[in-house]
Amino acid sequence: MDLGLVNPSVRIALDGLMMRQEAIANNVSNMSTPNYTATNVEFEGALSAALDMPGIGTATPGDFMSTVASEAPRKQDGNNVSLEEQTLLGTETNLRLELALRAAEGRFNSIRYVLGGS
Amino acid sequence: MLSIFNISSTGVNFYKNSLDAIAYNVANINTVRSMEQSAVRRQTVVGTADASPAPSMVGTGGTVGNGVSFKMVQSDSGEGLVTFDPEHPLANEDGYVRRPDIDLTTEMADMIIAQRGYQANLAVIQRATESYQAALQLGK
Repeated sequence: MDLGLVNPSVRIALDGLMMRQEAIANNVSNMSTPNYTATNVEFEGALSAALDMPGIGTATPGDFMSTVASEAPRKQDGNNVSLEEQTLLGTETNLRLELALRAAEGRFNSIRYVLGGS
Repeated sequence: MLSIFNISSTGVNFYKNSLDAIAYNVANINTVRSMEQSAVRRQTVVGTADASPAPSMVGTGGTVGNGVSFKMVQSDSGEGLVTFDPEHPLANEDGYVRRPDIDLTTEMADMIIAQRGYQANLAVIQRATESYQAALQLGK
């Protein structure tokens, strides 16, 4: 049941960021896998382009998500995961997640205020 | 939900098994065999990406894999290093024995890689815990 309590774009951003965390986890666990290509999840571009779309309330995260293969140079074993890059991206994604959660939280606080809570 | 733990635990498991293989190699670095037997063979753990989509990816169009799977590989022929050591009890009539073809320097370098890999995967788990915890605070 969707009461529309969370802004649809915030909801999609939350899903996308969580999925990016999963992609990072997958890249790090395959750090020594021969011929592995790092992947990243992208959704921001598609999401910002669709912000004015009338049907965004019913859109699913899958409509915006795309996995992109990294084009970083490969090591001798054909693997191109860069641990530094993944760590940085992970920290950044964490902060973005907190930001999106705070946006959702703000909405809840307003509703609680209207309902006469504290 | 919580699938980062599954994905990263495959990575932790992979590096733990790599460390086990290295321990085996180093422990047997001086194991001598007679010429009739094969020498102790160096073990390595080789990973392959688990392409099955992560649980939360199903139906979203995303194709993030589900971590790493691996197998133990014995990476040399077992011929070892044929060494002339006539004093050795296992030596044949010509005085030869087989020593394992294991290089301590390589093992040490591999060990550091495995250690760092283990730590990196644990760091991801740590970060995921923070994310999930923040999400659980929502609406409180």
